[in-house]
Amino acid sequence: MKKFLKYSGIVYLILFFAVIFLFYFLIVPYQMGFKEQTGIFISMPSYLALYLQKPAILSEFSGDFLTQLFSIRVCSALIPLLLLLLVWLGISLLIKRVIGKDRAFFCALLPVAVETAYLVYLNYPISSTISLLVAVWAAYLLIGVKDKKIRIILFAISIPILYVLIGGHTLMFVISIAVLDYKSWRFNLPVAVAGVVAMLLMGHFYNLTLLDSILYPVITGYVLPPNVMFLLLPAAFLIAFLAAIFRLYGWIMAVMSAAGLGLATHFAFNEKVEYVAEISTHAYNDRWYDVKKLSLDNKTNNRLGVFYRNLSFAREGKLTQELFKYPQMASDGLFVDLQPGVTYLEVFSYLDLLLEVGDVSQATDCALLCQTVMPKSYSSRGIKNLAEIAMIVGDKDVAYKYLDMLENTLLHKKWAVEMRKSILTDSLPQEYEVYRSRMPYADYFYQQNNWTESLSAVADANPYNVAAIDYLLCACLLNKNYKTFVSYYDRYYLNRLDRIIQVPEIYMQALLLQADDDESLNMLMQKYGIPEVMVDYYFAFVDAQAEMQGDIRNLAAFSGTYWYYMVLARFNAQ
Amino acid sequence: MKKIYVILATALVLLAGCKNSDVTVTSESIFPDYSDIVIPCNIAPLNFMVKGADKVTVHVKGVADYSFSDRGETVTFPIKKWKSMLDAEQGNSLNVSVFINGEDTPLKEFEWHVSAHSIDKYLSYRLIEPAYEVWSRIEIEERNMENFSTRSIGDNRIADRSCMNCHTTNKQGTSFMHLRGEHGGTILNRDGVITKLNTKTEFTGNTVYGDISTDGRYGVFTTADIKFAIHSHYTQRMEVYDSSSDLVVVDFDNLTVTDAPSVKGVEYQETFPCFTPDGKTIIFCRAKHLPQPDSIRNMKYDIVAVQFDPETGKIGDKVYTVFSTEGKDLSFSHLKCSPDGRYLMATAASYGTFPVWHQESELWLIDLKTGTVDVMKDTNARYADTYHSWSSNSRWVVFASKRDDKVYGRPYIAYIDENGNASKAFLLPQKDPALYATTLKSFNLPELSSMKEDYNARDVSVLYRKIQPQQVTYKP
Repeated sequence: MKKFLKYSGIVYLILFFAVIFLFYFLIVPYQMGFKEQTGIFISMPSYLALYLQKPAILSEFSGDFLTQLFSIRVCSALIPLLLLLLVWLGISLLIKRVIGKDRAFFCALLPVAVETAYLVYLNYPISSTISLLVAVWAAYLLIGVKDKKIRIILFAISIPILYVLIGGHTLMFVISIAVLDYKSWRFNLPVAVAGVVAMLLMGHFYNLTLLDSILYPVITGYVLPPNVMFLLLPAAFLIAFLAAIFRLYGWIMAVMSAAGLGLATHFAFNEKVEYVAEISTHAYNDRWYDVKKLSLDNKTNNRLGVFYRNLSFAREGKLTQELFKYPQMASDGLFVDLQPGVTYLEVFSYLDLLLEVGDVSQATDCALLCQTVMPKSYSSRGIKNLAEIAMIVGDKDVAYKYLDMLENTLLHKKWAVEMRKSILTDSLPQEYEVYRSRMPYADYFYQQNNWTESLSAVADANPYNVAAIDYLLCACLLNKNYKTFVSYYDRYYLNRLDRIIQVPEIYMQALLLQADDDESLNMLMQKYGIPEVMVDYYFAFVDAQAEMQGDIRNLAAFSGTYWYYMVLARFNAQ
Repeated sequence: MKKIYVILATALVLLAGCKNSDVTVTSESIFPDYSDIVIPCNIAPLNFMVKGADKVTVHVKGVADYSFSDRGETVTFPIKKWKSMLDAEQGNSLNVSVFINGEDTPLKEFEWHVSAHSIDKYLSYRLIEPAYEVWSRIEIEERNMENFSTRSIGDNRIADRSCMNCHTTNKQGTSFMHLRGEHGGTILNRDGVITKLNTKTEFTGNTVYGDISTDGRYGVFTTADIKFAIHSHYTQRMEVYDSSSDLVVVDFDNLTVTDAPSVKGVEYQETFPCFTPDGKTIIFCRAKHLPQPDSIRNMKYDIVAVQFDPETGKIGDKVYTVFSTEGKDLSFSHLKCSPDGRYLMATAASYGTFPVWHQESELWLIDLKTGTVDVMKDTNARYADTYHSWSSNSRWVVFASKRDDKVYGRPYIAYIDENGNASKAFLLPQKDPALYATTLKSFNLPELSSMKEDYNARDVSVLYRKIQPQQVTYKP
């Protein structure tokens, strides 16, 4: 029986950690991988010196070093798993050393479950888990000191030192010692209280807010668990210690930790965030086939999903062809608003569009914003984008600035070296040449976040930028802003683009809506060169609409046309 | 324990793997360019790097000989040895030879002239990404020019992430800094007494760019409705303009704000005012109002002046033209009088009022005694040179220049001699010059001061959150 219990315990532990690995690897791989894009590790002394300006020197340094490997999917699951294993081992040994072998391994699982969930959030850094790891092992080492006086003195000394090295998780160290060394509570308690005050004062010295002082290297205000959730970890520690002290049955702790893992990951998992992280990562890695596939499988009708679906069609030159075949969100599915409080997920997405439509000024601004809205003001993806834009516009000095940085990273070095060579040999990637051809060559002003102004300025500055013009016209159509559509059509297509490219059918469908009678119809056909077959199709639609008897399904044969979109919109509004 | 060594060794190898090994070292590989410059006798060591070098040796020949050597790309001058060298060589020219990798032939030779005039000991600047729409992190730092120590005198993370700007001093113990946001105000430091003011009144707007009179009693400010627009052509990217702007004078003794018909109204837009050192004249930029941004290319700001009575705080009625831009492809901004009253330095761009985004911006020096204008060819360089600040002895200016990479402003220092000749500018030295390569922040609004600022970032945080601003009242 004893043997059975022993082996079943081992199997349980293996299963517990296997679930964590699979959760990271299969369920939230893109959220984990995204951590790499929202930071950077530049191995230059001047950059590394920045780590000395904040607490958690050790954990931030090692955490950022490891995070750069998160762009490799297996690493983004394996590294956290290994760290969590070490955390678990540390807590287990700590409990075992103080209370005894029984149940220690199960009790230690509960804090691990909570930390597993924290790590899912985009801006919960791996350095925080390293902080926890160091805190636990420091507690283990300290609790092993036999001499009571020395132990208390070391406890007092190690709090400020640990704070400098690992930041806010020093609190876990304090809790661990205060609870597990409860026999010396008369001394430990005042030291613990003084230690917490010292942490807050040190945070103040580092110019951190009160909350950030006890959470750093977690920086509040980004994609993180709600603040109250951060109480779960100390609570889990307390439960684990108390369960061990009061000799709670091992199987109860096993069930509790399994339930804890299930609940914590359930609450931490956000399908929408994972979806956006995945689609955005595919776009970043130039996997537009995957972007399109994923955007077409947009079950929750996510706005960025719609945005990327339109963008992936636009990249294939099929935006106008496919626009009305899928559910839209008016022009919200084409653009992103860059308002204060904008998330970097949106900024990255918008950047992809701005490059596509040749708006390099706003794209540069977006890429700079990517740094601004990052917790630590550095983003490898943003820096890469800045280098790309500089290459597209031909600003070598600017490109070198960013390539210099990327050449001093582990995984972006190869790309940066290749790009430097391509600048020197004047052989930029084909895609950049396409973007370059869309660049404005005249100068007009426009307001940010005003797509009508910006796209028309970009189009005025380069009248052959079909991508920008189509986005502008499609936005007008989606917003049912029919008059503006006609004026923009006349400005950019009429007697200009319509002479060199085939006019998209949805534009002709929209233009036909101006016809009031036969005379105006003939005039429209002449002015815009609308073929008779399109006119016949329109009449067929008008007839079908007259006979639809309030049932939109009777117009199904015309779905995908602008006429159908208009009727459907009216129908839905009623 | 063995395992730890293995992990550490692997990490070091991985890190070392990041170094570029196939770099050709030439005289162009030296960064920053410290060749043939005039340096203050109290400046921090001019550490520089030779990209791709394994060892850098520097021989300096003046009255005595000095030798410095370092392994790696960067030569770091020991601060004591550097100080004693500058002390001994004040007023002398030094011949500097740079050798790399133990070679006998110097990679580059140049001169340093050690000026007997010292530069102000402190430099404040705002660290900000060059994207101004969302203020995530802004820090105002104060740097000791004699060594490399810095401290934070403003950090918006502990002030609700609000915008902080225009840390300006009169170099005589008075300074101000604007804090925006819900609990914002103008932080005023008068000889160590720190207050928060609300300078906006029913009749006058929020104060922005400004200057303080030498005696610290008055502040003259622009009140402007600042707007942004984007250029479709990438070369300039962004345009910042005032849809309207006027001037006001704040009396810090009586906490009043006043204006005058000569510096307000819709016909003209007035901005970037500064006092002359005697406090009797306000010099500022003025352009005829035009609808913007459409006509912004026609907004050409002249340099004009108006009398000011420091006794009564009254602004004169008549505006005099100091430098007209009529018929010229010119527009002035950022006016600063030298503390000795002899010179006026301005930023000249082709149009508009926000030259930091104009690559053509450069510094001009106007001799207020003779009226001659120096376009400072030796000091200006490619890309924007803006936001200058004089040292108290009128011999040095610090300004933000984007000459290195077009995007990020960095503090450059230039010497102005008694005759108004401006020297080649050099980059503010850093302990590790590679800092400029890895930072994504602009060193914005550099401001020299002989006195250390009396507050730090935490004091500013308390002022922001807990102190009610003192209301300034309008005095017609």
